[in-house]
Amino acid sequence: MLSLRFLNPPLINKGLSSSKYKPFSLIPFDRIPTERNELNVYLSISLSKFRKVFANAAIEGGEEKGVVVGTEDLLQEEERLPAGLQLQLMPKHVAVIMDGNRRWARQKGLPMEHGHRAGGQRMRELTECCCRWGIKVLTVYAFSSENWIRPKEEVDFLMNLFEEVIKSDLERSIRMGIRVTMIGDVPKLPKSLQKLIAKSEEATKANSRLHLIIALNYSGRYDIKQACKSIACKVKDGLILPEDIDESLIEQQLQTNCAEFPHPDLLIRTSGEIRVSNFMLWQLAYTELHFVNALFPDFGEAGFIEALSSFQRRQRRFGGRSYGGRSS
Amino acid sequence: MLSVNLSLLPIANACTPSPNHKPLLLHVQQQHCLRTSLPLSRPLCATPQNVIVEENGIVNGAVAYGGALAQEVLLLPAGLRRELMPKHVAVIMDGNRRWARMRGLPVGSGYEAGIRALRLLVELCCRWGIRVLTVFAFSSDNWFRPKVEVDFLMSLFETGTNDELNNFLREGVQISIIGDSSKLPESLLELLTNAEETTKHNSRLQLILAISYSGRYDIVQACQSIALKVKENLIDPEDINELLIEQELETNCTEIPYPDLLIRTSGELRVSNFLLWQLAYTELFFAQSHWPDFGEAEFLEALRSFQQRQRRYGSRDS
Repeated sequence: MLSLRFLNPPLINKGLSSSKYKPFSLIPFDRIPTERNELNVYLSISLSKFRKVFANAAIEGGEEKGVVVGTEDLLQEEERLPAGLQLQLMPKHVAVIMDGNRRWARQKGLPMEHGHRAGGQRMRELTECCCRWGIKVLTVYAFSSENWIRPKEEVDFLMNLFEEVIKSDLERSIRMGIRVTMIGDVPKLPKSLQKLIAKSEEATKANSRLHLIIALNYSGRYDIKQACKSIACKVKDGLILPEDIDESLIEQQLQTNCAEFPHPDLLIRTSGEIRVSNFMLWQLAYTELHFVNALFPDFGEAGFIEALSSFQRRQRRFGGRSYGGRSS
Repeated sequence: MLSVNLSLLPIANACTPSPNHKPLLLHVQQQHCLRTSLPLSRPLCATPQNVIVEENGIVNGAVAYGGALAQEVLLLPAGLRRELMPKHVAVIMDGNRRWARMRGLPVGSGYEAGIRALRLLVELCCRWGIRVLTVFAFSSDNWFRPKVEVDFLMSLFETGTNDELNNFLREGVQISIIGDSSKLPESLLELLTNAEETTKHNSRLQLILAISYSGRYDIVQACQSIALKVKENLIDPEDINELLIEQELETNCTEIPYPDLLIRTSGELRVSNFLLWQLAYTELFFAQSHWPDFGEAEFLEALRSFQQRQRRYGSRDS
């Protein structure tokens, strides 16, 4: 008689290991960390919820053996990819420039605050989609270092809104397995916001379902500059030589070094502007860019699916030649 | 008595409507545009409805208006506004091989057609008063392509540079090279260095050729230079700011290091490790056509699109 045992979850297939694709980042793509939170989830799901199950049964000479049950890909309950999307082509890291909140409010004859709140809600929905569809990192451009020149009233409102959202969403983030990290010149933010950020990062640091990176008082040039400064300090202290400086060293000093996948595979910018506005500059070297006309509060699940669909149709060559597949 | 000084400035453009262009567009083709020391109200063979003419009221000395050369008449196609022209245009010239493949031609033909398209773009930039044109001729990633292809490209760059040098001298084009030149064949490096030297006093258009270039490497070498200065106690880490980094990037060869407009052909929507720091506020334009098919009409479309953009640099819209 066969007995069924649930063992520790096998290594999750990271999907994009097909030889058709080059690695998405310069960082060696060979780490598959054990994800304890997923183990908990795994055990709580009944067999019928598995989207793909394969079983290797080994029965020798009448002896009972355990059946190893694993999953090719592990998804939460009611988690199905929207039609047309393929799991193995999902981007690991999606970045979003959430542009258009104020224009949205203006168009509706509402005060600017409504636009930002509506944008906040959209961001929440985006994180939910990412969790459901196996995206591992989501970086959102919440506040650029250039945004300080906006009217004080708006800046103050935004700082308060960030505090409100971080506070109110902390519980949700913990529950959903979302790890929250802030990148940017955080010391320049209001003290109360800094405290909340620290608390939120600490409370969620063990989460691994989705890494939500919030870029606050961030800019791509600032990121590179602070990396350059850190490196220069190390040189001054005699820890490294100038000739030791290479791409890998800079990578390690950039603020995105907190992420398992620091380079976005896909960047989405809403509201029709076609530029990157000093967002992650180094990190976007090979990112597929997707520009939509919808203002951010109008950018819902359907828009996100379309962006992912577009991404999945792209042929990424990283400077080499095409390796067959779709003809270019 | 008035005297008129004329000098001939050969510009290949059309006097009759070209079939490739929108109906309202007229050019001056195969005519020599006359430079005079008197203000011209209109140039020869252009009709007033379709051409914007820059008038130059200064007789003596140079005029610094938009950086255009003294006493030069700029003809802009209909719909383009002089004050909204980008100063620095960057181009990722993608799609040469696909273009060739689509026609059943060898890859080399694609690259050759690409050179012709580049020649045309240089001409248009000169004509329309763009100050800097940076082109992504060869990425540091491209070294991984088949050796046959890489060798062909290197020899094409040599031939191209040789063939065009006199034209550049005549047209007032200054050549600058950015990229890791240590990987280039000796003969090509010599030619390029010579071209830079020979054209360094030209000021009509600065053509920056990015060969063996990578945006990330540009930042790395800037960081190395700065670190060296720190090691030699010339600067403190605290002194490192964005301006310092800008001054160390390879685009420090130009007074206008940041492209206003980046054009990428052949439909790919990415920057492929081109100028990364420099592209922070650049308007991006993605054209469907492959590079060899990118001509005047396509460039006009990109410029028109650029002129409609609202650039806010992080602040609110007015």
